[in-house]
Amino acid sequence: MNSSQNNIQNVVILGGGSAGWMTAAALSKVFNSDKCNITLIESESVGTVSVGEATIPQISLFNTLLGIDENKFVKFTKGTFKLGIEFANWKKKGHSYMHPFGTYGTNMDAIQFHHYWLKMYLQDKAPDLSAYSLLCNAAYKGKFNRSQAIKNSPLSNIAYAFHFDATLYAKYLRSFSEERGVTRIEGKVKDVFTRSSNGFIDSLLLEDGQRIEGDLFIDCSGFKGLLIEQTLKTGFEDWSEWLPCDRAVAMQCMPKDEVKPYTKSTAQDAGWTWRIPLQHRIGNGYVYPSQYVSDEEALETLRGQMESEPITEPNFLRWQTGRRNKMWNKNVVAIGLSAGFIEPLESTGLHLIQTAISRLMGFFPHRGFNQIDIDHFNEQSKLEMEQIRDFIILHYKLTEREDTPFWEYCKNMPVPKNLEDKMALYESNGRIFRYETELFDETSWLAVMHGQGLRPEGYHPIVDNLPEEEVSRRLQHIQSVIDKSVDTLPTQDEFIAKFCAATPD
Amino acid sequence: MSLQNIAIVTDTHTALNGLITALTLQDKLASLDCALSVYIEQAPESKSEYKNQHYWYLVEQDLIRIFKTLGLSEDALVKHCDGNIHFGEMHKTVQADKVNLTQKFNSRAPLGVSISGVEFHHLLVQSQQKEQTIDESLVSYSLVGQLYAQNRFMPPSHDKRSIASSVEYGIVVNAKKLQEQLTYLCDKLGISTHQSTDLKLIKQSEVTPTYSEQALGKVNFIALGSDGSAEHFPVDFVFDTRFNMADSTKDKLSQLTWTGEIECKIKGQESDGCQHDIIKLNNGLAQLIQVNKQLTIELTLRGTEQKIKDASLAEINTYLANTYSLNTESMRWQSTTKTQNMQCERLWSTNTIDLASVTATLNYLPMRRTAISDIIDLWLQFYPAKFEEASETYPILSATFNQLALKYQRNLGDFESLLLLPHAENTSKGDGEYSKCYSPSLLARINLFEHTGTDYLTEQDCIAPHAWRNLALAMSYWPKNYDPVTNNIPNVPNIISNMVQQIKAASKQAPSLSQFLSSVAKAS
Repeated sequence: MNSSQNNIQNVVILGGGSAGWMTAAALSKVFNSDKCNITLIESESVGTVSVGEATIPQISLFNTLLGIDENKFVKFTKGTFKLGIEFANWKKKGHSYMHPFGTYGTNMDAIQFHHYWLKMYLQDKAPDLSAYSLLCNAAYKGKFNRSQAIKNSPLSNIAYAFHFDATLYAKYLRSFSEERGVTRIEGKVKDVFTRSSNGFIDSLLLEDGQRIEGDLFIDCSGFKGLLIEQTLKTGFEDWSEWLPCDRAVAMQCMPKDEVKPYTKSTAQDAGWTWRIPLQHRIGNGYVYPSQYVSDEEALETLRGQMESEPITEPNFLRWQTGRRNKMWNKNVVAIGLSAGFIEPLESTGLHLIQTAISRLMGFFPHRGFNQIDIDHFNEQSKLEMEQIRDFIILHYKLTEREDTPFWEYCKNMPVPKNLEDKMALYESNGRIFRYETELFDETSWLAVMHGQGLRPEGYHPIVDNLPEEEVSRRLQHIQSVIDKSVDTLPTQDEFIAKFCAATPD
Repeated sequence: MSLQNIAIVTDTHTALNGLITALTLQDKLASLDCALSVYIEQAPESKSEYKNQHYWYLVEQDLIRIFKTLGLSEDALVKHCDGNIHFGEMHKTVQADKVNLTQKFNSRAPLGVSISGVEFHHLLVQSQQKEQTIDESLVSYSLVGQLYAQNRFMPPSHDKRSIASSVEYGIVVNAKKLQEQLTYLCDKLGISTHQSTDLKLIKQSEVTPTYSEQALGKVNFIALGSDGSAEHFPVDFVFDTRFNMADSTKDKLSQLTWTGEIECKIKGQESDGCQHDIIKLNNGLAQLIQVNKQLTIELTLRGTEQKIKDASLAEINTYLANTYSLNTESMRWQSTTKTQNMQCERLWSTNTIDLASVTATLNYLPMRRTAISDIIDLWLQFYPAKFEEASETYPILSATFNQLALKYQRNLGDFESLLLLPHAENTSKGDGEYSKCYSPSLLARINLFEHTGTDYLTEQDCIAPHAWRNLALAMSYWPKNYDPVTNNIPNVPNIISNMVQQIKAASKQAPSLSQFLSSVAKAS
């Protein structure tokens, strides 16, 4: 075997947008351009979806890998900070709750905080869970700061993500990648050639006659999956029985009031609308099930709820919720929408791109392509998507609403066994179990299960070792520390003005 | 209502496990007002095939920490239990001429350090493919490997930048002496111990009115002594370490049919090494391990037939004759043990946890984890209130616990199989009679590693990734390909060579193991 052990020498990425350029940036950062050529094919005439404007905290890991300074990132993407997601009208009309990225209270005697709180809450002796979250309080008051090195303070542990302009992010990553030797080709694929010996993709023929050969192809072509599906016929697992929304319409408007550091999701008669505040505009959208809502009705609903006049034309999107049977098939790896789609309720779109890239790096193939690696990659990808899917289903399943056929269906639908077990475990005694590889942690599950109205019958028995008066005293103390801590934070507007204000166009 | 009485039921064969369970619970439930009691049954001879007494016991770091918290320091462990340091094992294969050996060291510590996000073993694979010379014994690539080879010791440094921070070790002790120390510790901590020739667990539904259980509330009982003069103790929850798995065992974890373990002690070995050899035999394996100044040999064979024992004895005698100047006639067979790698679908039933299936064979294998401690940690995540027949909570808690414990057992079983099976078979994996012993997950893990050197990720895997890697390499599963990012690292041979020099230099700073052991022995 030679010194380069039959390495991949030509990687072809089909499609720009967030998935394509994130992949190109990461690969170009890791591989020397003289040893591995990376080519990205995209067409300016093909629009990008760009709905991935809200993120979860893990995006920082990706930016760190690339060496992107966070303040610069917020500045050039005209971004804002995100401490959580508010869910309005999900449990019932007129009710709302926040899913914060950080923890509630503080654990005591190795027992999770929420058990102590549950004991008091179930007796009406404690306020709602959100009172014990620094992030919930800060988000509602429009405040933000990064973690500070203050021992034993909730201010030392501020988890946050970003809202940003995905198109600007892709533009930045393009420049980052091209500086590191990625070749961008403007063009549309006319034909795909496969090898008769093994069905692997050999090359792509572009409309202008160029033929692009590659060892490994990354399909970032969006929902249609030009390589993974249209060429390789990989197949798709449909999840619409649990997640019936299959359409979205998106529009932007100018901000009317102060920009607060959270995403808002408001349940509608069928589906839900989002509001994502950036520095220079608000991203709005309506995710809806075509079975219950027409495109015209959706547009009307969205327009009716926007806080100011739209500044863009409506952008309609269609998808099928689910995943490809294999995210990696032969010499094609699907990343982004081509790999599958889960509605953006918990802003997991960019995260799935990021983990797929990370996984691809871990299993980066040789030209021989080893099926064991591919199977393992696919197994991990499948598990990851299924775990996220279950967390999203939870929001629908636990609704108390039965005021429309859509919510009546969601409330009564059977759910996957793992999710059923998790709900039963919490309901029986407040326990939450998280699988090690699972994206959403115990706090996230607690936030949504409690927020949606699931009430346990009991709590951890060890809590009873502490006298009730002491539990009550500790809870009051935690609440008071959180209130005082939030008071010390600057507003998000002040923070952005100081560190990362976008340059006006 | 919170648990108030937890019983650890054990027997004379598994008493050490029972005491470890009690002390682990004592440590982890320190803040609770919960009484612990150990009940030791005089195990009948009929159960002798499940005898679990070994001359030595390997105390892993998780237990060392627990013992230290409870008042048994590491030094005391070494001093009072004939303790010796365990840095890893040397896996040896005797060649056809009976003299030459191939050997590979399974280090407890990670090999080398990762460079630019690339794990060190990829650098070794690349070097080998470029026909650079590498140390096939792997001893050179970890500080503990060098310490092992040179019979030296140094404690780990807290400074993460120091090479000494990589030191990882366990402590091998005399099992009988450990049991004495733990009994003393239990007594000191107020954990009551009860001995009986006739110990019975009585289920709530079986308690007769004579025991006035109504007055005591809905609890289970443990009965000690014969029926006529039985003392009865109420318990809320039970951990059972006895080998009484017949009712609950559903499946053998890896279809292992290992039987016939023979243990012998060789007197006269007077070195202060920390040797642990695992030698491949034609019909199984031999473990040679030094506990203080004595070398113990433990044979694990496939089959109980006399001819297999005789052949294996001859093999080990030849090996010893070529390695040590020992009078092998002094070897004394101490016990026979039937060990099976079992998997229990339901570790937790009603208010009892059956620990026997996770401790059946693992006690004497260098597993890097203490299964009892891991299972108790998992149980604590589902810590229950008092058991009530009508409660819907228990089935939900125990079902989730059992589902996770099953995954944990599978991973631990795979680690154990990886440690045992390559020694057990004469043909390559998948071909011989032991092909069925490899679980699908272990096969997938090995295949993945052999092809790309990548870690196999799975739920409830308490074994550290580097421990899997080191073991696979020690068992001669060498990756065919390396991480392509390795090609971005300039001058890999120099990096490896510098690292080896630094490791060697650091190891020479360490005092000899005998100096360390002597200083511990002299300490008050």
